[in-house]
Amino acid sequence: MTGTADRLPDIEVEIPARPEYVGVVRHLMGAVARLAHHSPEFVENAKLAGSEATTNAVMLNGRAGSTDRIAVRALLGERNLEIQVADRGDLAAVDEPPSDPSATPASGFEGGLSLPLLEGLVDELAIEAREGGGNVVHMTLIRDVEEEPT
Amino acid sequence: MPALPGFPYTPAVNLDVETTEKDGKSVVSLRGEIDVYTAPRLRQTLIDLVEGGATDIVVDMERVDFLDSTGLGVLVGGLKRVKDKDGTMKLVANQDRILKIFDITGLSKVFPMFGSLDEALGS
Repeated sequence: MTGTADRLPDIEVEIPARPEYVGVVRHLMGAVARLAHHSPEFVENAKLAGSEATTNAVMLNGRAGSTDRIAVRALLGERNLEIQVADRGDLAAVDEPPSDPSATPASGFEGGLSLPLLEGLVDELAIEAREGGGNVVHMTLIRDVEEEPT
Repeated sequence: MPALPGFPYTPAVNLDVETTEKDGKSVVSLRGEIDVYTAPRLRQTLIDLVEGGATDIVVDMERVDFLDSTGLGVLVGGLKRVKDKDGTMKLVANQDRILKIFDITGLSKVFPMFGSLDEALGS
């Protein structure tokens, strides 16, 4: 864990890249947001953003045949929450069939909704290359100015 | 869902799916969380209904605590399947956290949405 004088210590977890662990990240993000007295709506947004990004990471790892774990980090600021989710996948290979089908949902799902949802949900969204291969998704949720801590 | 290697239990699926017939419509009542792990259960239910001849489906999400893009994708897939059979699929949702997701993705204009099951059945 790391932290600075004006920020709570970061929270970092690693989960197996499997669908059944996405809920673990979701509930953790909700708990982290509640720590900072964010509003119920903010908490729900944090849960959804963490869940979406982790789902994408699980899918990307599965398609790449990676058994690496998904790294999730939450950085709590006074007025914001940054969530980072790191995978070992290849964004260019999203249309290829998964090498480990058990790690991803059955075929036939209608995809393509995650990115529009994330873009509408978080205040800042960026994807950068991860050292050693893969991606890191950075998402920042900012508390509304008129929103007072509960 | 299979048990995990080295794990003595089958991981719990936090989504209850119940199918009933009401007023000539197939009602799928959901309770719990719809995500990448639980969505296959809903997907299979919708496939079974359409393949079994159901053409008027109502998906009741009043007791859904969480919905993500995987769940949305399953609903879109179900809508396509039932429309291919000239059927309809209506959604019941009244929680802001669920409605917001449909608004962000524009899907609130794609699905007929109702605030209660009675409204959906009476439409």
